[in-house]
Amino acid sequence: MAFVAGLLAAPAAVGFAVPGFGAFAPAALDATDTLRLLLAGLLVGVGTRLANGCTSGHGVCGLARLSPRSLAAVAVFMTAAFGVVFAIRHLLPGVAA
Amino acid sequence: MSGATHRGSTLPTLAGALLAGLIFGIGLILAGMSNPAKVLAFLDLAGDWDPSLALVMVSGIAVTRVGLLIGRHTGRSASGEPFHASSHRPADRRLLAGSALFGLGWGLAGFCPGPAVVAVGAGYLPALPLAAGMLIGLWVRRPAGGAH
Repeated sequence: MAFVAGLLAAPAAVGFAVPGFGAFAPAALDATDTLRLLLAGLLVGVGTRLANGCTSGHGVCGLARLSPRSLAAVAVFMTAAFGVVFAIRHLLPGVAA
Repeated sequence: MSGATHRGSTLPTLAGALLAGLIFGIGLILAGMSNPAKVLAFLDLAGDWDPSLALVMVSGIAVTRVGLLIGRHTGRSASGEPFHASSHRPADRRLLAGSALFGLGWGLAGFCPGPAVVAVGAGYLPALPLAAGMLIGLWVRRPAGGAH
């Protein structure tokens, strides 16, 4: 929980050190965006739990430990992510940014 | 990050976690990991591919490797806790299915868990439905009996 608090405070810290850097423009959201983001969040949440790790858990910590499980996890999630972006941007133009 | 429950966390431990979160978050922002447009450009192999985030991962792995080797040598973490790296187990179906779902979600929005929390802290509007979904996803599949 303290770790999460640190993460939440990071933008403020960066903004304090370098004004304007690390600031996120609050983008407007339409209903489709909101739904897509909610779905993406659900997938990321469930996936992280099932796989016991995420980009940093498996990708950075796991690979640094030379864990074969993490190597498999990274290969699978990178492939899935590449695939989704390819589908959205190149197969279904107009669906999303 | 095992699912270990923290009982009676001491002040140095909490401060260490806070500092670690802060450093990690600042790193994510500086590296561009918390910018979904950059992440999606990294994932877009067939488009205007931006491979720079691969360097973030490689240098992250290198630094972590050094930390792990030091930890194995001293048997303590930087904040003084006993250091133990879990042993290696073979990949199972649960791991692969979870990673696939994770990858789908990551590619859909360009956000993975750490940067999502950072973006909430920055008041970035799209991070709110994403974080809500993430919390629901984490909660639905929470480990039985695991208190948090």
